[in-house]
Amino acid sequence: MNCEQARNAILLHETGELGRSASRRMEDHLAACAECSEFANASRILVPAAAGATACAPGADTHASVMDRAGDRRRRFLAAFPPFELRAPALGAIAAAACLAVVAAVWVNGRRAAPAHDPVQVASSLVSVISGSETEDETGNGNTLRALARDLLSMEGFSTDWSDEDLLIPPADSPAKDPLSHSIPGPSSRICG
Amino acid sequence: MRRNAEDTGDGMASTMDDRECVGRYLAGDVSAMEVLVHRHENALFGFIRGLVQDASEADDVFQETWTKAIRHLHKYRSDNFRGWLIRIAHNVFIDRLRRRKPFLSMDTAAPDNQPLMASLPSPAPGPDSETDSAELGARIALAVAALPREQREVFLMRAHGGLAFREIARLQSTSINTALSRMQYALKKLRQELKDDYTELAGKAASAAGSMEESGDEL
Repeated sequence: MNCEQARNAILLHETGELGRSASRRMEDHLAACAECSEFANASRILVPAAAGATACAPGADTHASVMDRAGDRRRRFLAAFPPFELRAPALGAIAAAACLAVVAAVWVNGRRAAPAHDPVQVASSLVSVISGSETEDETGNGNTLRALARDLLSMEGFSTDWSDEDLLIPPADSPAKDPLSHSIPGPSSRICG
Repeated sequence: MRRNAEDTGDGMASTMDDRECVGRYLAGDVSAMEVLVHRHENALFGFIRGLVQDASEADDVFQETWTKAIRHLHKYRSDNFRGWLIRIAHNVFIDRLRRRKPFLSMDTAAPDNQPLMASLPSPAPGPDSETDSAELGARIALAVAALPREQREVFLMRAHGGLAFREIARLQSTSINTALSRMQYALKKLRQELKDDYTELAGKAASAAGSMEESGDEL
């Protein structure tokens, strides 16, 4: 550590910003360097002396003005927001009401009928996928899609061998409700060829 | 009219720390703010007078600093309330410089070409004062006022606010090495300017340290 670094270290040590190992190196340097020791003394003497010598009180009017502002601001704030102790019952009531509202919302939501996904419509869409993909299978994607549709039908308890009648597929002229059925061809007479 | 800080003492001041005062003020006890203002106003005003030459401008900066501090008191988290005030005051000072409001900093030439440092208020010994002699205090104040602005800022932020150099560097938008260099130069110049008073200052510092040790032993 050279003198420049040691003096920086002295200043950092005073503000508690110096690490332990750097402090040890600084102390080693100070033990061997009279000039840096003198710098450390000067800092110890001059900083507090200057703080005392340059401190001065503001004018009485300035002080009074600051206190007026402090008082006004606090009074205005407390008028708008009374102390917590006074508001505690009201806050408790608000919190209880909020809890009740959440519980009621959950309960009402739980009782509401499930979204109208007609299983027949879903099955119809899947059947459409299976039958439609058979004709456009060149890349292998159709097979994958068809297999997926079959799996989904099986999971829903439908047999992939069932006929249109078995699945209660709506007539071809009835409007399709399932968005999936818009992009795929209508069901064929047999689910699997 | 300058008041003597000794007149404004309050029995509560010695029993409540700054955090407690802040908490009590926020809970509605305005007298806690009175304690805070009494405790820190001399150092804060001394710092501001070190940056701003004009007394009325210094009063404005002082009031604006407290107004901002009071407004943001609920955000105060530091353990160094005076340092927090010094930071706010420095920001107010810089904002005013940027706005170029008619404003005399310590580096501005006075209209009558008199040295601005000559108009510095005579230092009023307060609770923080380590010098009993008004003349010695005046010489120290003049030596500080003669420092270049950046060095003076660093020195006063360190002396009055006890700010860390990392924080001082951030406030001055510079590197920590530059802030440290400025402090080194400031100390070197002050040491040179006050060479005739240095022995007396060293003696006062030693006796102050001795009395602090004694009071520590008693505790």
